[in-house]
Amino acid sequence: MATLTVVHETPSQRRSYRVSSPAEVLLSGVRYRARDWSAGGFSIDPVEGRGLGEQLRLTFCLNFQGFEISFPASAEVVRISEDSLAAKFIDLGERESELLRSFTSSIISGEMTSVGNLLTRMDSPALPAPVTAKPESRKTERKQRVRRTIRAGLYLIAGVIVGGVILLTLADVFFRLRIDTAVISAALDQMVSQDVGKLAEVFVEPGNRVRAGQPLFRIESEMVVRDLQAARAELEEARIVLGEIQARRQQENQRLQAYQAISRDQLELARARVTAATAERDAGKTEFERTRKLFEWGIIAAQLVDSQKANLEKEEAQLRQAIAEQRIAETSVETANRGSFFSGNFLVGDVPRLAVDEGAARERVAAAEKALAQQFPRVAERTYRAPYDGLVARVFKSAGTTVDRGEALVVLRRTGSEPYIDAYPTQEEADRVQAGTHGTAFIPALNQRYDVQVMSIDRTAGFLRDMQTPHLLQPQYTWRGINDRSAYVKLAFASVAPAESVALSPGLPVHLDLPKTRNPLLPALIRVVHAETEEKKGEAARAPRLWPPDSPLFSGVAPRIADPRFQSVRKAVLDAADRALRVPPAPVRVLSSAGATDKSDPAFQQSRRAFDDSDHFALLALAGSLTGRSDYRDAAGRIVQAWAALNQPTGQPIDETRLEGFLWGLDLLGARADDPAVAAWLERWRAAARAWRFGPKTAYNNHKTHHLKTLLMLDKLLGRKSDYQKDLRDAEEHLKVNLPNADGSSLDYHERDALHYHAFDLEAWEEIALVTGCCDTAVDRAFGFLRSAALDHPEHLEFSGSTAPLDRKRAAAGFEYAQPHTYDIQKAARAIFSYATLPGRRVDAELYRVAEQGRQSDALFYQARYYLWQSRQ
Amino acid sequence: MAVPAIERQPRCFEWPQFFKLILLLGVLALAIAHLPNDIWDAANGVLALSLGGIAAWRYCWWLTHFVRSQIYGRLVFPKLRRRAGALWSGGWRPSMIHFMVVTFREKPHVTEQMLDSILQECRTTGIPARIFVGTGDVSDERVIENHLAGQPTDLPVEVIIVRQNQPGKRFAISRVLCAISRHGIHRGDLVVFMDGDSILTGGVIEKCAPLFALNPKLGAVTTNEEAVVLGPRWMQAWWDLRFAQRRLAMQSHSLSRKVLTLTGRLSIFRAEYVVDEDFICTIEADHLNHWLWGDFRFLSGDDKSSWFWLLRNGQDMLYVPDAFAFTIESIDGNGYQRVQQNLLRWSGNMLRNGSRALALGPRRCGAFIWWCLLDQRLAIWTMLTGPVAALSLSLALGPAVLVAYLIWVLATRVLLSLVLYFYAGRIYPSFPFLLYANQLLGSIIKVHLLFHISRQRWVNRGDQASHHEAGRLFHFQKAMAGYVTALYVVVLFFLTSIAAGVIEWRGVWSAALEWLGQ
Repeated sequence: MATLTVVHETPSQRRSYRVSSPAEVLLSGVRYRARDWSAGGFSIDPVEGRGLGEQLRLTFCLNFQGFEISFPASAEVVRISEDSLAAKFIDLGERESELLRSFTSSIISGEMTSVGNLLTRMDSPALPAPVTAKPESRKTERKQRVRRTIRAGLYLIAGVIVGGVILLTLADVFFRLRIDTAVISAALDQMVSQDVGKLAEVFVEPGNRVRAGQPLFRIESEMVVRDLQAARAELEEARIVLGEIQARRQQENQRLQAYQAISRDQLELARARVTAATAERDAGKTEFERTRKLFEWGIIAAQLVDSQKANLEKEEAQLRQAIAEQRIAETSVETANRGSFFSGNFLVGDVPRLAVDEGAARERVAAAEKALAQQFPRVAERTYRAPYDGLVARVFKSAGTTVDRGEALVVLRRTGSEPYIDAYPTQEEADRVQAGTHGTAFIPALNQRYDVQVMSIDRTAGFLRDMQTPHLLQPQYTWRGINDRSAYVKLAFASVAPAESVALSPGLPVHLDLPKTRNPLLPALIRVVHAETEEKKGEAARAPRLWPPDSPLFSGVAPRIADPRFQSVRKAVLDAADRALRVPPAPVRVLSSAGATDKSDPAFQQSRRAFDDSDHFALLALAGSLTGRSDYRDAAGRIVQAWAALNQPTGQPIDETRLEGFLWGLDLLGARADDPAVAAWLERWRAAARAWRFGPKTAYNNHKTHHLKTLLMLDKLLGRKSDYQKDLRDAEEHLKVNLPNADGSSLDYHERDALHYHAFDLEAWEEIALVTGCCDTAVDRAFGFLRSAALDHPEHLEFSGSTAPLDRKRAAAGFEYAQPHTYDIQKAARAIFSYATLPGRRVDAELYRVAEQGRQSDALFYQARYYLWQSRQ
Repeated sequence: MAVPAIERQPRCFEWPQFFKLILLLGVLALAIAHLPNDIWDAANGVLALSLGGIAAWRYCWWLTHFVRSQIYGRLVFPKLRRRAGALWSGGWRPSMIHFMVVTFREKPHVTEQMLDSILQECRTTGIPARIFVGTGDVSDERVIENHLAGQPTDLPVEVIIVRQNQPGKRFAISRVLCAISRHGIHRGDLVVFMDGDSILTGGVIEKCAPLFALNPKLGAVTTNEEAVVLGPRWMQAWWDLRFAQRRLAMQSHSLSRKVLTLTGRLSIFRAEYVVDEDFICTIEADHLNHWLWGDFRFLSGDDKSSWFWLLRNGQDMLYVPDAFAFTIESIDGNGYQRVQQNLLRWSGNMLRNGSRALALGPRRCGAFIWWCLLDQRLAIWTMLTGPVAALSLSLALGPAVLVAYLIWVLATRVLLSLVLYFYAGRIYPSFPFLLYANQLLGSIIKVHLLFHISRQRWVNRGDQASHHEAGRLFHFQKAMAGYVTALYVVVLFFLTSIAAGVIEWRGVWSAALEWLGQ
């Protein structure tokens, strides 16, 4: 190849040139002439008994210039047709391949011709390559179809399963909220030690059921033991002193007796001396008289008379001396009888003093004995007893350990107290929970699911510990992430049978599943839609739910009231609203007014101040409706939002009845007050009220009346129709026991002996009557009783016969209303205005005037309501 | 069109490109510094452990390739080169070189440059050669004849033109291989597979041929490549990026004495294999049986077919980093479409051959190469987890997540690009963007092709496309393929959203019970 040549070659599938030059194939001893051959294989006439794919052992022979060139080879039958058998060489050696290639090349290039002078020719193109590498047979096609069908079917099934799982999961993610950090809880009471000492005995174990008064544990109080020992020592000492004094006094008595004997003897001696002296004087006196007569007779000399006279005087002196000595002896006897002995110069003897000392010692002994006797009950009191029937939930310590004052030792769960669920969601999760919604609680330990209802939501509960921890103990800021479970949700079991309730032991883990309030993926969109809706609604008023729709307040224009008295009321309302504009809201987390006896308690004072917010809110909402001014409404909105953000209703009816103003005001504001937080607050309130449990008395007195009033108002405001019907039935039942008397007197009047409480009870009944239209007759009677009792018997002293200890306590604590006093009908201003508001009722002008005079800020709203309740012809 | 002089560009440092890169890094640093901190609050433990784990895996895999590539390039290959050089210097030559060139309506100047480069090699080495040119059109033959007519005639070279009688590159190669077989080969002959737009650089034969003598098990070698793009500037960057990635991967693979493709632009085979009937059949009528699409033939991917044949037969394959070929890419139309079509073709080839290569098992393929084949399929999904997670997180947390993700993407791709600059030999500030686009588009295309695997199109060769008969079966196949693709994508979104913490997974039964219980 010395030159650069370009050759065009026909495209062919053949990898070797094929020639038809003479060649022979020796197969099983038989020679077959090759029809054609190449370096890759050959073709011969058909050979019987040979099949496709059969491997042949053969000898390939070429006749080259008379010489036969042959070599053994292996070949595989690749084609059998009617006129030929084709085979390809297998594992042909390089030498043999080169030989055949060389022959064919030479024949093709003309270097060789066939022996038979046959023309050599280039191979023509083979059959076109098939489009499919392996033509599919019917069987293959069928197999393929089955395979395709099975795989497609599996994918379709997988698609259905996957689709279902995904849809389920997405629905779960977007619409459900799962909280696993929840636990069953119940109203538990800790039995706390009031002593410092040693836990002597523990009588109960966790799980024990106890009866009221059953001993729980006994504490050996260090102080009580010390006091007891001291009392005993004191008594002992007093007794010793008494003994000493008594011994000394005995000695002294013995001495005194000796003294008395001596004195008596001395007295006898003195008397004898007096007798002797008297006799001597008498004799001397006789001698002197005789002498004097003799002298007068002059018988004797004067000297002898004088001598006789001197003797007489001497004898008289001796007599007086003897008499004096007798008196001394008498005195000595007398003093000895009194316990002293006159020694001659001074009184001797301690008997009187010792008697006094002995008395004092006896008193001391008596006092010590009394003190000791007082210590024994104290010792007995160190045995702590169950205050009620219940279940021992926990026992914190065992006998023999020390206890400190205030240390909790046993936790009791009251029998009959319903279990509830404490859940601890994240802040984000807490934002998605709505009070009042129902969900499912799964309790793995029981493998049971229960319907539960959200009672309250508190997103600050998790921070309580921090807030309550003194800063010195927490000198650093604490990081809180969005995933920290720092909020709190309380849930009640919606329907649990008492038997099941027992099984719901506090501490059991709970998995909660609750509906989400809104889609977390579209908060912005929701806000936009919400804003648009608000905008569209604008000032449009929503149909009132507490107020009558035909009230002038909802006429769409400024209300016009024909009664000229209303103008002054209107002005008063606006003045009060203006003042309220300047007062910031002061909500409290938990109201604490009912039952309080300490006026100085800050919680009590804060609650009383917080009640003003309710009045302010109602007046601001009313002022907004009267004037259309947005600043009133905005201020009202701020108040209610502050309350919704902080307040956690407990359901205590007396505390929360004072929040009634919020309900009236919210109904006035209508759609303008629609706010998820406020709605959640109302739901919390409603749930808490519904969960409230009454005592044996409160189930029938004003507590229940105010409870039903609040529930009925909330039911109406929140549109809970079924609950409303149920609560209305409860109210009708309650009416029978709370206002049972024909004279209209209430149970509360008789219980408290006070019109104050009758009016307080009546106020709630009036609201129920206004909102529901029920109980008219009973309310009429009750109002009549109030009127007649206040006006006909003004001398009656309030609370004088109250059976409620609270009244006495409050009176003692300086609560003015609880002091014995005569009732002033002016204090019933609210009851009078509300009664007058009831459809078809009339209050005589004098009574109205009295009420107007007594009107206070909390009654102003009700007075204005009287004018605005319905369109009056 | 003027014929540009094609010469290999040395490694170069261009200050303007460097400053652009610095600017990009500055912007990236600013973006990271001003990213809102709370973005990553959502990326809690779940996200870090799942998607972070995937990211760590992917970048460790990159690092593994880089280290292996360096070992091959700095330790293994230099030794091989020294031994091959000694053999060549000692006078060893293959008995003959067969050039298997297929061309289809190529631009005349490209064909001429291709022929010149071959003749230059023949002239330099002095080895007898046959140049088999598979043509599809008389115009190509005229260009060849006219050009060769002007060449000196003292070369030991024979040129054989074989015009294909069936459409398609595979038929063209098959016919040429049959012609090579007919003309006869000798033990030790080599066959150089070339495309009509490939141009040899000097010394390719000298650098590659002795390797076959050194390793009797060596079935084929493939060479380094560079692209000369006659078209948009960004496409030059894109091709350089592709080839930089190829260099990194090829060197890493070659350490296991296997590669993942024997590129059709320039690969050299041991002659005795390529005239094997089975090899020719594989090239001509390679096909796959798919459960949905049935038995279908491959349109493109002849290089993958030849690679698979050698892999199946246990032959070694090497990458020769110091032997270069140029490929000339003339972009006449829309560059984006061209990129998309190339990715579609390459991805299809990879998917069609990857599954059957995997079936050979790690023992036949070699553990590392087998894992690479598996990784190619896994990477389709792992690549998509990032954007899918970002999308789902952005739905839950807001678009700020997307910003954070884009910054993350830019940061990681800049880091990877710093490695690729080394292999590209120059700095392209556009590499990070092209790299991500290439990865994302590649993954999307592969996901689409997974169940549309029979869909093929080859614009370079007369816009060939696979054809399916219309009919109920075809409509069913098409609908089923779309359905299964959608199913996989939905599952990807679902699992990624769970991993990212957007969706809280708490079991099917639990959720079902809750809903049924309502």
